[in-house]
Amino acid sequence: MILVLLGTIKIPFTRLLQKVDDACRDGLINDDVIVQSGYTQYESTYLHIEPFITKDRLDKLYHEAKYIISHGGTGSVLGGLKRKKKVIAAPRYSCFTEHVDDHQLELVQSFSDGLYVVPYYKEMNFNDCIKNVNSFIPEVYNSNKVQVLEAIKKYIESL
Amino acid sequence: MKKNRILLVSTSGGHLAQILEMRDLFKEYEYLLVTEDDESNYDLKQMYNVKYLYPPGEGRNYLFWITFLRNFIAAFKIIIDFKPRVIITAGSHTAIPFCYIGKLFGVKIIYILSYARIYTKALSASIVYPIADLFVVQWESAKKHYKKAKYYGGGLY
Repeated sequence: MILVLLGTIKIPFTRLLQKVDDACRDGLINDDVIVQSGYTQYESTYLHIEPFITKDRLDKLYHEAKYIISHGGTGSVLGGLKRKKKVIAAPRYSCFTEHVDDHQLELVQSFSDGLYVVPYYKEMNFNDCIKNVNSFIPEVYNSNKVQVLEAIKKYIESL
Repeated sequence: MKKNRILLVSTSGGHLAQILEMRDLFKEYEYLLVTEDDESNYDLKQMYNVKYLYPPGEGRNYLFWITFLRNFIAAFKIIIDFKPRVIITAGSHTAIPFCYIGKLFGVKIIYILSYARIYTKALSASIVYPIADLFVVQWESAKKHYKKAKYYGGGLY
């Protein structure tokens, strides 16, 4: 199964879903595809689309998925990395009115530079990303969250 | 000793995801989580002590400003009722009235710049920055725009 995450922002991201749909139609993707579509309206015979998936169920789907295809949102991309999953990360672009600015591009570039994700930039061929993800071995994401929380806690305790 | 009361404020989506990454911390305190009334957040009720604000409209039409005003009043009420010692937020716009009203009441403001900001500024962060008691960034490079920011060697993920 392949999990597709478009985020919960109130702006559609049809372009990515269209690419996934085409890849299914052309036989490049043969697995089941589950989509958390958020506020993107889309109909497809190939995709199983749900607007919102609860956090518990999403956790199970992350684990079951062969790989994740995600918009460039922090929650969705890091959700995959922390579970050691392969992620194709597609930034939303402001020039396509998919977001208010291009911060998703920043995030995807940073993670792509570190070989954590397979990026899908607008000038790329999506089908190449699908082909590449099969042999892709992501870098392991090491979290420093514990020390960050410890520092914040120390500040609160000092008040 | 009386436990610190922590108010967490967040817009939906990635900002909220980052606040929830802090759950191990805020669950040690008496906390209240405030976020937008949005379908993607409904399952929070079962897990957290949460209050929902009015959902934002799209764009910046008159409805946005009506919602902004209603949430401004709601922020006043929540702060007076809950009496937090600290407000923690990772943005975005939803947090602004809470931070400014909180500051008036002597509440300490912890602003955590979103993990999504690596090289660029964020509007809500820049608005709250001057009054933030602790301003945390999740990437070393983000200190460039926010001089007094603290970087603790990583992010919330």
